[in-house]
Amino acid sequence: MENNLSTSSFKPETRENTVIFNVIKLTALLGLALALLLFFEGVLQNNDSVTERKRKIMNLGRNEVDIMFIGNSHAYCSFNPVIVEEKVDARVFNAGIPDQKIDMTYYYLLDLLKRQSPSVVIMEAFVFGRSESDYQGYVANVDSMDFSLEKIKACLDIFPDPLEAAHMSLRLFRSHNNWKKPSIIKNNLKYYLGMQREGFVNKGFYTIESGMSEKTIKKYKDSTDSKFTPVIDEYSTKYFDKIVDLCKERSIRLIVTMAPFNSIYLKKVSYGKIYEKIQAICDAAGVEYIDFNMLYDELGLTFDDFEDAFHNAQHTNVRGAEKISRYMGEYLSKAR
Amino acid sequence: MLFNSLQYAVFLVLAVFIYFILPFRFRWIFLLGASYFFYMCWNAKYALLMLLSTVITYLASILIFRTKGGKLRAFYLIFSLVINLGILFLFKYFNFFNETAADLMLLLGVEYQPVRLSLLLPVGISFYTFQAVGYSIDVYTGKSKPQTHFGKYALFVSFFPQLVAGPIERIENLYPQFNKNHRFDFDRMKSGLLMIAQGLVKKVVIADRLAVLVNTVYNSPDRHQGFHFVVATAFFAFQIYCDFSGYSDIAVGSARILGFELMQNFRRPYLAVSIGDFWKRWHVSLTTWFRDNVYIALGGNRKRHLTNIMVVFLASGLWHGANLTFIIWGFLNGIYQVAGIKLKPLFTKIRELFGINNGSFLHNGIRRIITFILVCFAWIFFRANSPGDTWLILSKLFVWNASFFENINSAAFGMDKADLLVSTAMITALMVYESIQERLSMGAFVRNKPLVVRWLVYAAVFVLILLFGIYGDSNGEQFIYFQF
Repeated sequence: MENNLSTSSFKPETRENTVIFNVIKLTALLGLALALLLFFEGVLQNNDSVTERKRKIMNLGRNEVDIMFIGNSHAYCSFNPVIVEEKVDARVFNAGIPDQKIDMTYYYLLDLLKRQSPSVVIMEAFVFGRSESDYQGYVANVDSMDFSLEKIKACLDIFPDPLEAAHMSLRLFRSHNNWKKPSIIKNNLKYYLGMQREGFVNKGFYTIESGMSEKTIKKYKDSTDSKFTPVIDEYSTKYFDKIVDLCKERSIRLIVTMAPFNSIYLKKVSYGKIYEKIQAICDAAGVEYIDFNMLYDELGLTFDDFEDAFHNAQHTNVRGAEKISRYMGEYLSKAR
Repeated sequence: MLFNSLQYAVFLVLAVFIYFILPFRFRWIFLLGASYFFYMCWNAKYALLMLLSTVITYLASILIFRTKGGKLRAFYLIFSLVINLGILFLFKYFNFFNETAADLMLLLGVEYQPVRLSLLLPVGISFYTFQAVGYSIDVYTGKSKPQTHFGKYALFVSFFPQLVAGPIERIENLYPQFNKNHRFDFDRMKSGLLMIAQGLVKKVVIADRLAVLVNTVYNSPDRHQGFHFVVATAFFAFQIYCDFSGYSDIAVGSARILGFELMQNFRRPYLAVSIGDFWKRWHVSLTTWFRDNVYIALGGNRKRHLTNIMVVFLASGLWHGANLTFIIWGFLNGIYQVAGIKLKPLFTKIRELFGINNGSFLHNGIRRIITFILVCFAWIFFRANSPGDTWLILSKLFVWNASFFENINSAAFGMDKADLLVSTAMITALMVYESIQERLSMGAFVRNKPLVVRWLVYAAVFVLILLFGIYGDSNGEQFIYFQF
């Protein structure tokens, strides 16, 4: 048979050939294609740490949070809501997401505020950090968003190349091979059918027990790398302003914090200018800024505590987080 | 932009939309612009080469037509051939022939340091050159009249659906279609989209998946044993078929949406019952080009029949690439054809002796299997990276000992079990589909079914591409025939 898909041998009936009927059929067919696309977008989604954490956060009941921490690992390693709640009469939750940058923080906050109405949002300032090695983190954060017009807008905003934005909007480009992983499909189906309502044990706080090993300490002492990634430029300031405006719109008190770093690490980077820049933009926006690197004495983080309070140069462990959380609780309990 | 890319999808949608909203008299201009834009996305400056080829063949054909007999007519044709094939030679064959000449000179004791040109091969040069040159020859032989509208002739040479990998069109088929006022037709659009979907299934679901195993084995032949090459070669047979015919399907489908019918380039070649039959089904546009412009010109089957066949297949091998392996591949196919002709009386006698019914299911089945094996053997030369690799593969293929079946597992093939299973299932499904197509128009079959059934078929194809396609972060392959 020649030219098997040719139209030449087939003449449809007159009614079926009307333009309106064909347009309706085409629209319905596109709708079916979209439905299939959305179904597989959900069912084949990668189950990485970002997605898992975000799902647990989204599993919270509506309006269950009064004070919310957002940011990346610096947020969920530093602030223990259980300890903060000892000082304030409020429901506290840590909604930090791994590898999050300030542009994703803005869209993530938009998403969170659909289900929660906190009166205070505390944003960890390390989200200002950006570097070339962040791409996988970006991908994971973008892929944790369900397909929506907002996600398309976010991708168009964040990725200048429209084709890259289109590529990022659809996580199927990265996850379609998950048809080989039945456990992922099962997990996703359970989530979307409402059968997976797992939440956090510690209200979002990530517990790390270990301190810094001798090897880790020596590594930081010997390191010659002085790069410190928080970047205060036009791009990051744009998203900071969006977050500020969003909070003002919703009458939310916004506090910006910078979690403490290990002092050895701190000495290696030109931290002073970063602190000044963040302080300046917060002052301009009328937003409170707490830099914990200026408060070692107030926190009770003595020099001797450092190896025991930190898991690595940039993240506190449970003992360091306790000191920070107590301070934060005291701070929030005072009248503004 | 690749046919299986998001960029092409956007380009095609825009091209179709603008084409049908434009008044008829402006459409050819738009298509010409869109075609050159499409080509320039590969490499902008090489569009000048295509333009040069267009101008030369356009002028030569008018001059050929206006000149009544004599040597001047032949001169214009030779001029057109020399310039166009000369450009092709420069970009594609210069280094190969120069280095081969240097090797031969060395055998004679003369040392010669060949000059090597660092020229990127323009995409589609073999295709559009042959299309343009074929037109000159058609005018010379009187098969066609010259086209006086330069713009529409330029569109014939550069028409984007078939520009970079065929089908190599004939002036009498494609050109008249530019003068027809095509109205947008939903059924034609549906048919075109189905062709594109068919092409995408072949390319992203089958060809690019099979490429993983083929590349693992053929790119490191020293690490593999006999049976690996059997599997890899069989997989390559389907990879190259699905890659090339998939491209052709997308080309035909894209053109059809716009209202143009391109020639069919493949007719289920692995259902061929002989090598001769295979070449009537595989890359039909190139085969018929060589038949009409080389084989018949040399005398066809009237004089030096077998020599003419060998010349055509050697030329076909060379057309595919400047490498000894392609020439050997072409030579082997020529030998197959010649042997087939010479042995035909013997096979007829054997059939009569054993009372084998010519055309019976079993008889055709055996012939198909033998034809497939012969074709696959030739593919070894086509795919191998070098003559050295070819000899290594052949030496391991014909060693019948325990090592032949060593290390047969998906990891050795560079694939996981799921992919290997899907690959095998897709090849089987493809052969079943094509066997049915041999007797029945699948398009008409689906179109005559109720709406729900049709939509289930469309949904199944969509899901097949969505789930099993090699795209996004899965690193799809370049179309194989782009390198020619």
